[in-house]
Amino acid sequence: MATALAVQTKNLCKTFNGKEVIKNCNMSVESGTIYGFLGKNGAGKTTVFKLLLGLLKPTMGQATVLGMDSVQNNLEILKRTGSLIETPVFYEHLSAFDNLQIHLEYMNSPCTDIKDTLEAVGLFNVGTQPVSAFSLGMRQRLGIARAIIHRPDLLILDEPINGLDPVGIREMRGLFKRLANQEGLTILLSSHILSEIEQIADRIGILAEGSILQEISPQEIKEKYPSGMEDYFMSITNGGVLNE
Amino acid sequence: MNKLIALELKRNGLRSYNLAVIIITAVMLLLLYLLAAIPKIDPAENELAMFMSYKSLLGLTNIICMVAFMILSSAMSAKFIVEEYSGKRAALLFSYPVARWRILRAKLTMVFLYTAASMLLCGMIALGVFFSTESVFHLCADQLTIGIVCNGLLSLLLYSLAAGVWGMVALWFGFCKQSVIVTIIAAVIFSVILCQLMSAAFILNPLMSAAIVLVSGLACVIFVLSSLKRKISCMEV
Repeated sequence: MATALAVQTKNLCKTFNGKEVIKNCNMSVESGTIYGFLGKNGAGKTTVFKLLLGLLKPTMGQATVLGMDSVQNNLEILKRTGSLIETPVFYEHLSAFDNLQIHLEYMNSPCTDIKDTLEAVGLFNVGTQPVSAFSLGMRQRLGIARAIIHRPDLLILDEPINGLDPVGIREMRGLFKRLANQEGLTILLSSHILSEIEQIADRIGILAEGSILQEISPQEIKEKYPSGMEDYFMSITNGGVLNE
Repeated sequence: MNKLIALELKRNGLRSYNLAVIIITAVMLLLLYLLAAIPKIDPAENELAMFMSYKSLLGLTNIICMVAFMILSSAMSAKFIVEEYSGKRAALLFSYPVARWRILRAKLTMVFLYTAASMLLCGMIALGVFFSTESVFHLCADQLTIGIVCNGLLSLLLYSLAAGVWGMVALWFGFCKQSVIVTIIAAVIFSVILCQLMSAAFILNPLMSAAIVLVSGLACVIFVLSSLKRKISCMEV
């Protein structure tokens, strides 16, 4: 039986000032799974995420998100997607609660329990404290809260654990797994931390120089590369040469 | 539309702009009294005779008031529009499932309405106080009539709309250059040019000069709106 795909790209290309940043990118993300996106700095991970969200328009090719074309049905996709792209931006003078409330109103989403969502990402007793007073980790947690609060079908998270301490990383890992396994959310996330992707993802996509080189499950990596994820990553992106 | 404007107001406070409006109102009131009192202070000076008529007095203060509100409008649109569409904040705006043009239209409407309404209010307060004291104690040598009051209020309305409209034209330059400074400088340049043109024209017919400024501003705004709509729809962040 064919599994429904939450995200699919076909020969996706994006050119900036004549330079092809994304080249014939083909990826498939199954619904209800966690897809880890791996790639070196500048490989094009954020660009692919922006193309899926309609923040950028493809030069060529097609991206289908939740069964809809990323360009034609952009607003419907945005309504059903939660995202955290690069460093999250907030209304600095407002509290976390107010930021989420404004977000819900823009999303035209019923006002769910904001306090519960803040607690789910580990933001307790932030009260009326303005976001400008938040630490990097707190901002990242709030960014995740904003991505999940309107109960999306798809989460696109660009480096979601940036700035989090080990406790925070573990908590977020638990949260993402719970959202995927219990609520059936599809999660597409990128990270530089190989072990993190290995622990959380059901499937991993390796992006190098704008193209997906391979889509593979962590189990397959373990079988083929018993020495670990790092060797696998090096061999696939550098042809086996370690950057030392 | 109303909901989007309400959200704009919720995330961008108007306190500093309200304070600016209060200050402009106080300055306008003082200016009205000062201009009206000048011929009494120096009766020998013949060139000050123009301040002895309500027509000149109101025309001049309305023009100055329009300049102040045009610059206020540009400062406001620089903060609410130019700043929001440049840099990372644009990605946040574009990630909402609301048509890009609808959000921008709400912002433009809010800035225009705030500029026009606050100038109208400021002018009405200043003129109201001035006319009240004039009915008791005359500073101006001219005779105060209902016609003068109505003309003053009508030209105030036209100048208020013109301030909002020309503020939007100034915004276009700032938006194209993605620069707060360019927005404000454009407003200052426009206000200087309009001031020169109007001060020459209002001697002949103050109402007509205000109407011309408004209509020419509206013609520019039609271009500005279509240009902004095009820019925003193909904007990539």
